Amino acid sequence: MKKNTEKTVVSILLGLFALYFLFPIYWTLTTSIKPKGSIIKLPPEWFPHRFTWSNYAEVFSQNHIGRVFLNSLLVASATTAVTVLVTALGGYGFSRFRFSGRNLWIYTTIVVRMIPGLLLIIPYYLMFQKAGLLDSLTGLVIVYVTAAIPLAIYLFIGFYNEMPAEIFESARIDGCSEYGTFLRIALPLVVPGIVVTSILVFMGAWNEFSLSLILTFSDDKKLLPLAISSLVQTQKDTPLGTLAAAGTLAMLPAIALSLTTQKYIVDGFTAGAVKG
Amino acid sequence: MKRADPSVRGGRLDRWAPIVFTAPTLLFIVTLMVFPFFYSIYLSLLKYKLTLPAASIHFAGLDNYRYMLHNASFLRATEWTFVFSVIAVAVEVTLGMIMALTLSSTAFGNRTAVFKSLFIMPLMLAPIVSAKIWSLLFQVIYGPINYVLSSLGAGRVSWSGEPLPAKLSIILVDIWQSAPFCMLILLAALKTVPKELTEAAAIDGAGRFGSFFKVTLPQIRHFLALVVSIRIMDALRVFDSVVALTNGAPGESTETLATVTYKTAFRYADIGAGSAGSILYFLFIVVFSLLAFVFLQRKPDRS
Repeated sequence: MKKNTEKTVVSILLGLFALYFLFPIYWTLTTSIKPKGSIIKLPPEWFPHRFTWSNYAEVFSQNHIGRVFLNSLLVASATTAVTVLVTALGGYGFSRFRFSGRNLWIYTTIVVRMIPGLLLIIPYYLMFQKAGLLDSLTGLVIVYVTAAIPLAIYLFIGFYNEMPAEIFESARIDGCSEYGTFLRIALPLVVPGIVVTSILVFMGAWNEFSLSLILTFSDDKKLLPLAISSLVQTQKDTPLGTLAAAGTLAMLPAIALSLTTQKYIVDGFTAGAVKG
Repeated sequence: MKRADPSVRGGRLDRWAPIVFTAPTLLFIVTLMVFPFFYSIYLSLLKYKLTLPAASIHFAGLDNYRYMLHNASFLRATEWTFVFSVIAVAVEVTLGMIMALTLSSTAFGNRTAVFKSLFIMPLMLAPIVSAKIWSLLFQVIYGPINYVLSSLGAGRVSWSGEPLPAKLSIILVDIWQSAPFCMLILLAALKTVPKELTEAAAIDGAGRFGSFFKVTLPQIRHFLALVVSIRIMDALRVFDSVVALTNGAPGESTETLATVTYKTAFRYADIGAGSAGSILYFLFIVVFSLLAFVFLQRKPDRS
């Protein structure tokens, strides 16, 4: 009896959560493949009857979306590679060595997480103007790496701290230099950590909006979120189908990642919040 | 744990190891976070307009701060940002808790695990994309939400045309995107509560709710404090979804601290006032999230 009550409550709640969290995604996916007539229709067509690719064709023809997609992929990949390289080294340095000022630096990297992006954007704008980095993808990669470092370093310090110091010591006794110890012992062990960090950093760069809004302006430097936000949307003539198609394109990597690498994402978010 | 003291053994190169490993990280942090932060404080003390010639830039003391603190738009945005954050975070954490409890129920064995990976999808989406796909649902004439509302007898709601619905839509989208994060952390938190404790409470006749409030909740207090302060920090920064849903409209009713600061600096090209606004905004974030953390983490009085 009691077991049945719990089953009922759990089913009802799961149904409600599914409605709230999944319906918007379902609606976007289905709207993106509906012909215009089925989108502008009352009552709404809950299950699409006819399919079309015309919304996607329109997205690709009008908005340089191919270029934009490539830009996003390039910037997110470069950001991930640089961030992981820098913080895999940095995390090891902070975790393994005790040097003067170490704690101060660790606290600094954590405190800077509290600085709102907008506070930094104004100086970035002026600095990039001087350095000729305004409106360039390189500039974006540089600020995205900076934005990703505090969380990534925090994660890596945690991963290295979990390794027993003895394995490093014995490598040293066997004649490894500090660099050899890192390459042969620490690096292979931290690979799962690299995967977790990479996913979080990649998604962060893929999804970022406000920095690219201010630091880039030409069409061929646009990233996906910015391109989507600038799809015209007025009360009268909203290109609902195009918007849905563009939204679907932007959602795909996120959905693919959350269904395939769920374990890593859960680990990453949990460790990012809880460790330390 | 024993850690290496690099000066004792190893070659000359090894002595430099701590610096070699940490230098790239510190270079980024110093040149692109610490320096711009102080640069921003300096800018906030200048009369500096991007549209005026460089010769017009001059020191202005605290004028920009005075200007922002007497600026009606900035004050209204501050108020709404706080109201938004408190409501959104309260609902997100409560909903996240209910979701975590539902998913950790064993009524269906392990068969509910798939819902966990489905529910984290919104968490992975760009805020701008979430807001845009919700704008499809909020569509005035053909949107499914208004259709359901009108078939229930309520009228159509202009979600971006009136202040209250516009505010509500921003809150709903934020909850949609962030409750899954709270769920993840609280699921991890629930795993740390020893089964014996809840079972003992159940034997003592505390019941489901009693054991949750008397045993589970105090046990995961630190996690709650953490989730609330992380979420408050982020909620106070809300920008993307506001730009995508309302861009501050109608009037200035949904302008947040972030959008107002952005517009001051870049639309009105006032670098000085924009910097002052963002410094004030940073102080709000620090004070408010620390208060939340300290308040939630303090030991409850057992009298």
